[in-house]
Amino acid sequence: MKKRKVAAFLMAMLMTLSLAACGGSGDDAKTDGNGMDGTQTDGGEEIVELRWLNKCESEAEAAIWQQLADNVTKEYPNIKVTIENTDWTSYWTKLPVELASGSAPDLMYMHFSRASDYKNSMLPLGEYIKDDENVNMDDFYSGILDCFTFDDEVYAFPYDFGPYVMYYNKDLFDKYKVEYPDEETDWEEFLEICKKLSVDGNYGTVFCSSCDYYIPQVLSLGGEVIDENGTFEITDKETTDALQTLADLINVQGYAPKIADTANTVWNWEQFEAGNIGMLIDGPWCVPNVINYCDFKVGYTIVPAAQQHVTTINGSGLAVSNTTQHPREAYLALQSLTGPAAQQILAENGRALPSRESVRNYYYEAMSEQEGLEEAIKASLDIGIPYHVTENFSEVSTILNSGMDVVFSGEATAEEAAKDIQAQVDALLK
Amino acid sequence: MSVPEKKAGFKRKRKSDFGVALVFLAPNLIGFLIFTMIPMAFSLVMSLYDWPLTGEHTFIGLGNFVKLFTEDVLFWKIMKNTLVYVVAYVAFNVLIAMGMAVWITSLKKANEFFRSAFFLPMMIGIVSSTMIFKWILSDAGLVNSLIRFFGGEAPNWFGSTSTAMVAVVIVSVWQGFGYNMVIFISGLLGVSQSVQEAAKIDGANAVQTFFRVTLPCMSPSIFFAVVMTVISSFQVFDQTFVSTMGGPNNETNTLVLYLYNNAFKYQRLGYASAIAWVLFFCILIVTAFLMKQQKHFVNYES
Repeated sequence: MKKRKVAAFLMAMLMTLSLAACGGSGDDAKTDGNGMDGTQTDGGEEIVELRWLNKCESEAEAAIWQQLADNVTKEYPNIKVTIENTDWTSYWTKLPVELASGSAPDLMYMHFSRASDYKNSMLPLGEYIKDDENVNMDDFYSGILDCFTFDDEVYAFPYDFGPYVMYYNKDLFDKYKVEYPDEETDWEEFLEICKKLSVDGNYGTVFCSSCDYYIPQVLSLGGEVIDENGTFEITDKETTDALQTLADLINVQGYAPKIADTANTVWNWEQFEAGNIGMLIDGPWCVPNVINYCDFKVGYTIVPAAQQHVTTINGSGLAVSNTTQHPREAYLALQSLTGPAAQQILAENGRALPSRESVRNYYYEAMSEQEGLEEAIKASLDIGIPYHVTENFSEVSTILNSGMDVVFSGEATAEEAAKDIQAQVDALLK
Repeated sequence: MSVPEKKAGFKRKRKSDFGVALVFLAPNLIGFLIFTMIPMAFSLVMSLYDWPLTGEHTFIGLGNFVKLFTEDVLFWKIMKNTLVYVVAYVAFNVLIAMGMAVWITSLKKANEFFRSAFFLPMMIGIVSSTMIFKWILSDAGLVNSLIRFFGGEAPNWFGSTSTAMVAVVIVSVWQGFGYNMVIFISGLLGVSQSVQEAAKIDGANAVQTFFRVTLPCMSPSIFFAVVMTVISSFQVFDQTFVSTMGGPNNETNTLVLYLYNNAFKYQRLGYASAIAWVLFFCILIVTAFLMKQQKHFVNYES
């Protein structure tokens, strides 16, 4: 009896161990060893070592970031940037733990949708920008810079941005002799295309359990989930109708496959890459997927208009942590890493659509083989609005995504699910 | 007079033993303190705080528990999911393990081969087996292709709220029954031949012998298997983390996954610690109940 109890006791506590392991939120362990070891440059300056926690998904991408870090040292011989790469999902576990345990990195990756949640951990850049004659703030695309600006204070510099555009499988269109979609394609024509393509196990389009992909279409259909003030309101009739219209594409018309894996936020891409999906909506940061994994021709155009021509704009940037020992040097490194030269490298490698207008053409040149991409991006910028987020968006988006699962699987109507989602979000944000 | 003397002698002896015992126990005891006792106490303290990962933590008494039980709509759904999983998993696991154990012990040949074969999934690891099942149960996968071949309607296993938990239970049972099977095999082999022969002579048929004689004789191993399986199934995490992340619509969200999400995704360490203690008491109550029932069902030969 006692033994069993102890066993139960032990097992139940195994998980709490992992919690306690990162519970100590003291200011101990600030042992970054930030270049205090007396190493010097040739000029005799003290070398400052900066640690950069970055989000990165592949070896190829890591090489590009390394090049950018090396260039910082070329520009400022006394600054050395060490990169630590982590993939998207782990990044959002690792960053908060490091911040909490007092071992924050000097530089960090920041996604526009998380910026407000991490505002208190980022260094406000206003005074550094004021003292800096070289930084050309007007060069940044203002829509994405705004996402990193709170109360007129800039907290991060964007290195990329992008509007959601429509990717389409040209080979599939050719096979069924369907005309390619273009900027004039409206909702009726979009449905018509879907109908023609949804034969022989193919589908016109595809969804996935992540709101990022369908919010542009919801807006286009006249709905709105989050408004520009960050207010979450999903129960409006226009919005539930739009969501229902999209879900019906799966369950009524059969124009899109049933979502088989709701945990996978790139499930739609896996289907598209397999070659039997006609159209998919995502940002230009996914063009490398086309280059690396699609053995068919892909075309690009803007998100088709239903009630209105609209799409959302997203982006990422880098920030300085507010606990860094070397704010001055970290700012200089940040400026270099998001400067025109760095963004040119990102553009030439097809990694990012530069947030700086002065080097954006390098991206279009690098992507010249992707027919229609440049036109699609430029046209989308005209109709693009920022992707509005709420406070605590990581949790809100989880509620939205899981609540919508039953709508996309046809097990509940959008109206029913919306009430449920709204109640959960309200309870969270109250 | 002799009694106190004896007692004193015993006491002295025990005292000297205690020091030695402590030295021998020290490595284990230190580990137990550092990795179990202290974190446990710490998590109890944390559960009484609003404890975000960054920023100030404030004492809120039983606030986390009150919120969990009265405000958190998701919590009761997760509680229900966890119980459904525990009941389904334990039942299928024990039944299949028992069936396999009886079948394998009855084999004249190759029983070692089958024993290893069915134990093998335990060695693969739950993450890999879940990945494999994700493909087997995918739309173009083996199972749905077979269902379509025979003219049935193929379910959207992990993607539909009505089948997601079924799929998770299938993966877990496939992966986990081998362990109980091995315990049952040793239990079956431990039942003395003479008792079974006596039953046969008394005119019991095979079914009667199994249910009236064999099963009661191996009840200690069944009890052990059930208790351990119940405890481990309350802590289901890997399967749902890999296959569904709790989806669709939280239909496969269970206590430990919810605990993990609260701690590491939403950064509410105090709340997560409260969930850990709720889980602890769930396991404690169920285990205590099973222990209490033990005397009715379990037959220790001695």
